[in-house]
Amino acid sequence: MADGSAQYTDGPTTLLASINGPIEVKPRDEIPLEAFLEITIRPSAGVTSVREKHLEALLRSAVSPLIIRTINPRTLFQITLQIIQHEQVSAAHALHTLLASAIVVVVLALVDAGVPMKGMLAAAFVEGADGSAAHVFGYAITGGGGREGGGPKEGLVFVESDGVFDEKGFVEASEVGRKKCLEVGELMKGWVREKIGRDMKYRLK
Amino acid sequence: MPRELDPTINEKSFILDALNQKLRIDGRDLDVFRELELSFGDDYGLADVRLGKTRVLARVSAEVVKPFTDRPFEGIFTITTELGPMASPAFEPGRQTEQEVLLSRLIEKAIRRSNALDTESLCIVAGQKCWQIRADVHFLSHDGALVDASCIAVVAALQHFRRPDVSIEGEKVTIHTMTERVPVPLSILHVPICVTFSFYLDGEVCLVDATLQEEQLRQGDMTITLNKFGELCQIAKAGGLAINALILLRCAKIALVKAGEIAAIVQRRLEEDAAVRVRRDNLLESKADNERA
Repeated sequence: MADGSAQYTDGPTTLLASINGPIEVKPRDEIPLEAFLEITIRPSAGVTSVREKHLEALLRSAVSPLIIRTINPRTLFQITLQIIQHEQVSAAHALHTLLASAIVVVVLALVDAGVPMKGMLAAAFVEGADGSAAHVFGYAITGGGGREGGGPKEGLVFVESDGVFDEKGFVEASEVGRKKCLEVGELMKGWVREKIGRDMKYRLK
Repeated sequence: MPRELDPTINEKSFILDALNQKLRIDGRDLDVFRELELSFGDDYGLADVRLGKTRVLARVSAEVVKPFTDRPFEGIFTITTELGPMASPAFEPGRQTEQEVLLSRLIEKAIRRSNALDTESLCIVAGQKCWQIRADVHFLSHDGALVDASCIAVVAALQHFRRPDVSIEGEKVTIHTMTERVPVPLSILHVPICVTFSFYLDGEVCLVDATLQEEQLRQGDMTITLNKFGELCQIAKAGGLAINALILLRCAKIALVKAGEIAAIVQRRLEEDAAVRVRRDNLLESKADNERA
């Protein structure tokens, strides 16, 4: 059984993420001053393809800055994401809808596993007005907490775009994305609060 | 990769002492399964099985391929099982452990080689086109009884699955979309169920549906696969403790009862899911089966 996990359903997409860590790392992957982050994405049917590998890279760039890896040097954090179902909403943008949900579920799983983090990230998928562009926006939803070298301030920290769009289109999309992210962020905070309330029943008043 | 932690000496002596008094630490009787929960996805062919804290997901998918040249009248059926770090950090992705090989062979024997799926019904044009049915088994959480849980997941997903309808005119094969024609269920010949027994205290105690902790302490294990009609598909006992024939017979009797119970639960859940679908998608009039007199 994993140290932390989360399952997230957004419309036709259902994802399950699990975290193990900090655990023993293979000597080959060991980093002297930091923890090593292993991200594996497993498709619902068939074997891992380039699509999953690409998604792994995108997901890594989104979540790795959040994790305070220097606290556990020479260890491993293992992130496994299982795609349970993902209907092709619009086949061209399937990867981006998946990425948005993946960020949300992985962040929740990291929180559940008690991995030291600088903040939480909420993500949302926005389609351009004419459907030719796809954007994924990631917003930091918990402030840095004033500590020196703390996490990102609340605000936009991650963008991944694909397709044809101009500056105006992007600004419009980012406004929609901000609203969506804040909505998702409130939900995420609510879930974390609820979970902590359940887990810490005997400690909190 | 870190090894799965063995139970401590205290835990070990506590559990074995309890077993000696015919008690289990989760309070179950020796021959009782944990509560079985089975749910299905929005798509056809996705089954999610929970057996206590064990959770296994099976996904069935179909595509049209060329049949094997030595078997031109048969479709292809494959089951893939891969234990990843999600089930336990002891499982390394991409490297098969002995446990994993045993597990996939057991499921393969239980379902594919017992002819649970009629592969001849998957033929479209002999020697040219057939369906390939693929069952992917994902282990999401490991708390023992992986074989039993994955067998239930696969048979449930196979029965839940619908493939697109096909029509043939001369040489031309048309595959109809799911909305165009009512999708067709697979032809399932029987429903095999695996029941795994774990032996303790030199065979004096045998447990059904052991948890991970109990599995780590067992001296031997045996898997019996049978369907609800009592037809035996396999008895798998790879090493371990030598078991008295009488105990073996007693296990077989227990397995028969358990297989009937589990098959009934699977059947009931499938019917419940079908009823929900009929209401949701207005499917009342649409069925792919032939009218039977």
